[in-house]
Amino acid sequence: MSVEPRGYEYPPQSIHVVPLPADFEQLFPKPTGLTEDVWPTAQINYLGFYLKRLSCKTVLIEGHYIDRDFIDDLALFYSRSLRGYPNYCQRLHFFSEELDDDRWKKLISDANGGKRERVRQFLQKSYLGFSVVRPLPGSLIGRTVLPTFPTNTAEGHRRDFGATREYRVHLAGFDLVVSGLAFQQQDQGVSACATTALWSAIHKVAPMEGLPFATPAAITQAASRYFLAGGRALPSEGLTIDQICEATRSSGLAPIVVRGLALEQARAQLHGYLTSGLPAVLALQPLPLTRSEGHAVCAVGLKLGEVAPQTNPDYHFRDVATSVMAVYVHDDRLGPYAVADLQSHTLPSGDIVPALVIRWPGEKAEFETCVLRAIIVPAPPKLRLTVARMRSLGVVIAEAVGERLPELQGRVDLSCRYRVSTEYQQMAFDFGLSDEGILELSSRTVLSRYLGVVHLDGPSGPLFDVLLDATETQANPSVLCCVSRRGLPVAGKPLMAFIARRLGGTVIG
Amino acid sequence: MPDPSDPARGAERAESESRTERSSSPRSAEEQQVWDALEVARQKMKPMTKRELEAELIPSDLMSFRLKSAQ
Repeated sequence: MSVEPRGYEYPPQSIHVVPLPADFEQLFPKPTGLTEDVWPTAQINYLGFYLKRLSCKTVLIEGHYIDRDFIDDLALFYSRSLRGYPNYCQRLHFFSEELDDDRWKKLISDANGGKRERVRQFLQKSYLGFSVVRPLPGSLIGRTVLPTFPTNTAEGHRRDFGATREYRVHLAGFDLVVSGLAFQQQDQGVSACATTALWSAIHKVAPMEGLPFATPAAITQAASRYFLAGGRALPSEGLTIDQICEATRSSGLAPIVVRGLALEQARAQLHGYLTSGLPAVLALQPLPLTRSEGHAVCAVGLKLGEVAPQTNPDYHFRDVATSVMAVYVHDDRLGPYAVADLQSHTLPSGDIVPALVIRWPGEKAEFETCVLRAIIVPAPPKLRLTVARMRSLGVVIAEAVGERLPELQGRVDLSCRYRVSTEYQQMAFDFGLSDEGILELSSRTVLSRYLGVVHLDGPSGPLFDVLLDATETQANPSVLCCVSRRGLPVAGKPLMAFIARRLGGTVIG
Repeated sequence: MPDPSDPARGAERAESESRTERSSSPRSAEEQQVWDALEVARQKMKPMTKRELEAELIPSDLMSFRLKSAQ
């Protein structure tokens, strides 16, 4: 008898290609024992449902994958368990093309025969993203990035997924790309719903600022460093909004917190932040309001309809934020891009509050209705001008323009958002500016990295933009310039110039 | 040094007035009307903007609201 040799073996790597099963749960081992949860879990059912909607035909199973998020969870929590959790995961890749093991071998062979780029392009054309499968029996779904649905809906509405980004994926020597926003299921050990919602949001904003991605373990640790109101940090007992803010700051970002007061106000906030590419953590309280605790989801996109006519006869403009019909959310009880219709709800107290009705995509049945208590936006630290402050100037300008240009018949549509200044300068070459105007904007005007853009649209196209220095806290006097757009009628040009002078900005036309 | 007689820099010279000078007084009756319209709009929009700005004031009980949903 001698001591067993341990620590010498490497785990095996394998790639298997199988058709997407009719019952997606067949891919996963059923947990043993008597568990509290139903099987298959809602997340697995949802993932299978979503993949069918994406016309997925094939699943490629990568047997060994080191996932940065899971290995951090393991280091913080699971490594101290009696059970020996492996430090690696499996990863599923999804394709719209029908493939099998033989076809995969042929593709590898073709690539080896000088057709690597052609094979890569073939795989890329049908690539539908990936899902990491963690070795955690009750919480299998780890980091998952799937593409969004197309921009136009079957009902003629529009989807805006500004808060997504590109992910580069390395599979067997091929570099693939998928656009989306990372989702993962809470594991109830290191992370709760708020942790994963914040983690998803940070996945979009951190690379904008050149910051590293915070893992769920890092978020939980940062959140509980100074604010541990009660209970243990681990296993996670959820996060308060205070803790979400602390974890956001710890990630190098700045939290913007806004209450959900009314439907129109919530719409305006969500429209401003999400169309600017900033995901938001939504603090929800399920109805009926019998529980003192809430739920968190990450808002990723918007479903947009027509801009509503102005309901106040004294106003001379329309608010583009009224076009928001629903929010697409990562709900870790379901999966990525669940639909949440934005509505008003009257509480027993008589208060009218904004509410979200969460549904599976394309399904009518309601999963849950919740009151929207707060919106938490992890923002770049130098973005100090909030959407509310931008709008406080925007509505004044829109109203004055609508009133002074009656020929527009109230068709002055206001929207407010942020843009990176270099991106705006590039766009401006298509604005139809004079040579002098584009020279002024590109070469003689100082711009902050993030611009607040008050944008006015008219019946014939964009009227003009008011560019604000987003490093300031007040919208005025932070006006940098007013930029003329193609839809501005001749009578509007002196109007824009007079407004620019009043606001202290220059005129670019 | 840029040539001050360069016509391409005309716009820059026209905008050489400071930000405070620019917004201090209107140059014409027409401009005055627009400035008045802005002031009227500012007063008219106050209830809307006040409500949106109030939403950024977060009470402490909301900051302590725990988000913990079982799967």
